[in-house]
Amino acid sequence: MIKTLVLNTIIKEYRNKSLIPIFLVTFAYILGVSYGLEAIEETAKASGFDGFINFKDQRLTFTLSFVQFWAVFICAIMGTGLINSEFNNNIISTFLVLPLKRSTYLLSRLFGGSLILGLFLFICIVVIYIFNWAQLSSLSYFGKTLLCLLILFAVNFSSLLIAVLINLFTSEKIGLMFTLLVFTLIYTSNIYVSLKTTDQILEQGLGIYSSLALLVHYLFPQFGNMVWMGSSLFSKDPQSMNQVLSQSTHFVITSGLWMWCAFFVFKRKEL
Amino acid sequence: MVEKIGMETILKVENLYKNYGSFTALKNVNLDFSNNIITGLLGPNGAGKTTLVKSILDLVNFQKGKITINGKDSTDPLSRKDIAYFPEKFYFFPFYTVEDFIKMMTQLYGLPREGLQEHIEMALEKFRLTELRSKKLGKVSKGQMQRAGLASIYLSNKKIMIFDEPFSGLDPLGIRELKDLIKELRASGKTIIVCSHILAEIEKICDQVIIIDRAEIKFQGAISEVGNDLEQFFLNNTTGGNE
Repeated sequence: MIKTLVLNTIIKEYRNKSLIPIFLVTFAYILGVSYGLEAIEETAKASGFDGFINFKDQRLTFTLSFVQFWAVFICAIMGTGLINSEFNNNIISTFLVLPLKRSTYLLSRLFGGSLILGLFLFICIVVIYIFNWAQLSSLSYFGKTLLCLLILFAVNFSSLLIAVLINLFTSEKIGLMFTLLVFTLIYTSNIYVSLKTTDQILEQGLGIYSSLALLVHYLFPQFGNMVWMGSSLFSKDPQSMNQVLSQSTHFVITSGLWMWCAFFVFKRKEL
Repeated sequence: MVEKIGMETILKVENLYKNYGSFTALKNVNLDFSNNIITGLLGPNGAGKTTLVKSILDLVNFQKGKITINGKDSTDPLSRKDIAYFPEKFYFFPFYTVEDFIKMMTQLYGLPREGLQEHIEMALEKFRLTELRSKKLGKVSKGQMQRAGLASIYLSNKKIMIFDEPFSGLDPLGIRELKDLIKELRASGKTIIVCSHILAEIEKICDQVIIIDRAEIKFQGAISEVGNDLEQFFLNNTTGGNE
């Protein structure tokens, strides 16, 4: 029964026409970055351009950021359609009358969604890995790539979960917009708090925006910081172990709490 | 008056209350459903029929009371292992073909694979879907989609089958076929609950009638107790829904 539900989720999302262009745009970008940016840099330098231009060293960060940017959209699109659409056209009653727990149903749907998400990230990372192999060929590079893939997967699984939860409260029409708004808030607050640090913000006094930023930063999983952690694996000065530990702990706890909320709300939701 | 018909009770509703905010959807509902009979659940629009069915299926949370299915509490998912449900305004993902949808449902119902294809062929034939087997659900008519849903319920072979407004959307031939199907299912030992406000259809197939109005059960008894005119009996026992 669970296998059928997972398969149904994959078929359903495969039919979601908006995902395929995202896949294609991202792959095209990775190829473009791998060849195009270097060519631009070389052309610019050959023509005597003396401004700051350093795509070569930042290539991985650029590419990972771009992959993550689209992964956010994939999570929002999938999160909107995964459960909510079934409530809207009453398909869900066909599934919920089966002899399985609601939590099992939700997990099956999330698992199916995660497989698509995982496939997207896996293909992206493999392509990035292949294109950078010549320059960074080493076993540690392979390990870092794998770890980065895991971090991005965890971030996006958590994003998918939050998108599903948001969409249990909203209609399908505004669900996607609202989900993207929440994701934007999370990433923006992560950047804001990372740039200024909590102590600096508190010293300057709390206003409406800084309070909101701190609230969102600590209440939700810190997606922005986690993505930075993943991409910093490839930089010359990676994050300290303390930072990695505290960020990972916060991420696991907040993701767990939001997961519990999603399951609780879904269990109590009436048809 | 609520009377109990003999035989073994397979589904029991005791002292059930369900509110949506200040609106009372079900009030002190007590019902017994015996095996191997067809029960017609009748009531005006908004009387509480669908809420009662959804409570039985644990699709809504009720405030007070108890529902037992085959001795198991209705909040236990396993209590639904013997139930198949045909919802009102049946709809499914439009990208599935009729045949793939039926196949998927048989997998969800956990039917054994052995001989399954023959059963599917038989169901397609029985529900006049053979020519539509490769057609997407999004491309078939409402009645044809309804028939595909009924085919999956038929194949499920569950002990209890609940149909919520199954006659709506069906053509006269479809209605006659559905009535024959319900009788056939009863003959094979199933317990059938049919929610409907189309009294003429219910009258001809039911063994037992339950009339619900304004959140309360007004009557539960054998169809023979109703007399010759179900419509008049219905009107005498109802006041026009739960507005």
